[in-house]
Amino acid sequence: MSASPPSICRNCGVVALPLAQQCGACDSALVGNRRAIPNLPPELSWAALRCTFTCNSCRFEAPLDAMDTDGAVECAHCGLRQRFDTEQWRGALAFAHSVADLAAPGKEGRNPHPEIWIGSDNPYALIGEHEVFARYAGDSFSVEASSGYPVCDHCHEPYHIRQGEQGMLEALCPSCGNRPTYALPPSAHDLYGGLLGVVADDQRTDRPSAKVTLTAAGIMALNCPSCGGQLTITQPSSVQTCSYCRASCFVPHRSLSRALSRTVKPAIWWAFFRGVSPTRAELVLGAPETAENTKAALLEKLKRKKGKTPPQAQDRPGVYEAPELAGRNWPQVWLTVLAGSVAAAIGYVITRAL
Amino acid sequence: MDFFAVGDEAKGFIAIGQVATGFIAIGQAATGFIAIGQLARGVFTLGQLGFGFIGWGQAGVGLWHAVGMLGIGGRGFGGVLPLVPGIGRPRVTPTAMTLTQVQAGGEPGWVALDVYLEPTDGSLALVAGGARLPMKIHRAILKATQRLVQTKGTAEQAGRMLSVFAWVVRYDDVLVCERIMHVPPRPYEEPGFKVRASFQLTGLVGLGVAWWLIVGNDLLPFLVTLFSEL
Repeated sequence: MSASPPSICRNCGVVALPLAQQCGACDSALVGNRRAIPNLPPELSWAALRCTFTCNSCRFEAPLDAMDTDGAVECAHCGLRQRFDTEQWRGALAFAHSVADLAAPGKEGRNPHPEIWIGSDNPYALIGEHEVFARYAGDSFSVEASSGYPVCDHCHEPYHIRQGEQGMLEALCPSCGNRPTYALPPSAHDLYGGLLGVVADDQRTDRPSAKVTLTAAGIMALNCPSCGGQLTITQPSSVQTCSYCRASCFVPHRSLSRALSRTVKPAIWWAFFRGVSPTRAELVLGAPETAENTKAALLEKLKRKKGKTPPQAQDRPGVYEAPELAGRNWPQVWLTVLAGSVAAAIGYVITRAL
Repeated sequence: MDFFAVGDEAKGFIAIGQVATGFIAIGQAATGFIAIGQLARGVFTLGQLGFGFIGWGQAGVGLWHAVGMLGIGGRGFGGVLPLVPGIGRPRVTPTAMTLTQVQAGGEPGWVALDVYLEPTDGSLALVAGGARLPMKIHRAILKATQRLVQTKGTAEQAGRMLSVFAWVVRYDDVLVCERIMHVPPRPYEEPGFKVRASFQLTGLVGLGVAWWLIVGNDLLPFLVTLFSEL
């Protein structure tokens, strides 16, 4: 049975489990709502991310809906702007890359090694087959990552993505013509070299963002970036139009949730990677010096007890020596008796001759 | 000569004494076909020092078999220097399947093949009949297999090729070698066996001469006398 090609949820673009009726990311029905994942060169991969951090003040899990690298983040619950160690992105991005690279199709992920099998040890083999997200927990920072492909906000067609310069991504929806562009923070490459870009509402550069004002009491006001007039949010759309000057602007997901008095949940955003993920590299190259493969372990296996049967299916993968046949080694016994007797006979002859 | 003799210098069929000589001799210094004592000489000997065809003791010397913390003999246990070359035991090898059977049946099985170690980059290839097999190697056995080929590889292509049995499992459409079973050659098939064996057998002949000088020349006339008198 060969691995079935993965499909994505038409609504959110996150990988859709083969037998699921409902998307594990956006909860929309999957019946008739699946789409084949667009083809990508094997060295490229998309990771869908949902990030949260624990607020230092209110201790709620606050969403982090983009790759924020300025060293400060804002809690969507209480409004506190607080320090965020950007070094945490290193581990998180390496994890996300690994998930995107090693998730289904197949047990070895997107770009299997032609000679070395890693499927049995692949920690993300179930992603896309039985689970939607894998979770990474840093210090007060957690990331859920999955595979998939970014889709248009409006019509949910998969974007055509073009790489611009310095981490810019230009998306084009082939259906509605939506052309958002996304910028990667300059320090992002230093944090993780394999990152090509991100697709996150907070990092859109094609529209100005609404001005978000938070008071110490946590009350939020959204104002038009053009005329400063207050924005009235009625629709859950990230692009809002000012009722005064008719300019459209972008409203971050977390602000939108608060404005509509909804529970603030992390939004899905996308990271675009190139190359072999760190986990795959470790599995392929760094594999062998595990407890099962040290020299001592190898020798132990080679010295399997006499008479034991050859290694069975339940034995761990390894290198074994064929076991010796059990029972008395009669050829050796007869040879020894014969040789000893002949030696005694020769000894008799020699001593007589002396 | 008595059938049963006890004394400082006992001589009989069964002799027990400080210096005992008999068919069965038990004493501090015992000489007999069966000798048990601090210093036991004979054929079957058991003592602090046993010297016979079978010599078991703290120190054992036996033409056939020796057991001891220190010893020399045909074969033996403990710190015994063996003088009869070991021929090893036959190995239990698995029932081999063909790769096609594994591929078609889906059930894992052992497949006889060769592992080839590429000398330039150290990569491994599983080959049969000169053709590379469409099979991957499990990551967990990679380095161990490389070491195995390097150390046990055939003489013609030293450290590069080794015949093994591979446990092949099919995952979806991918054939994976998860275990390698190596059948080592019998000792007499290994290089240097003949030289080692000739030294051992020369030593065994030397031990045979020593047995006659130390044991046999005393024991044989005594046994002849004993059985003629009895």
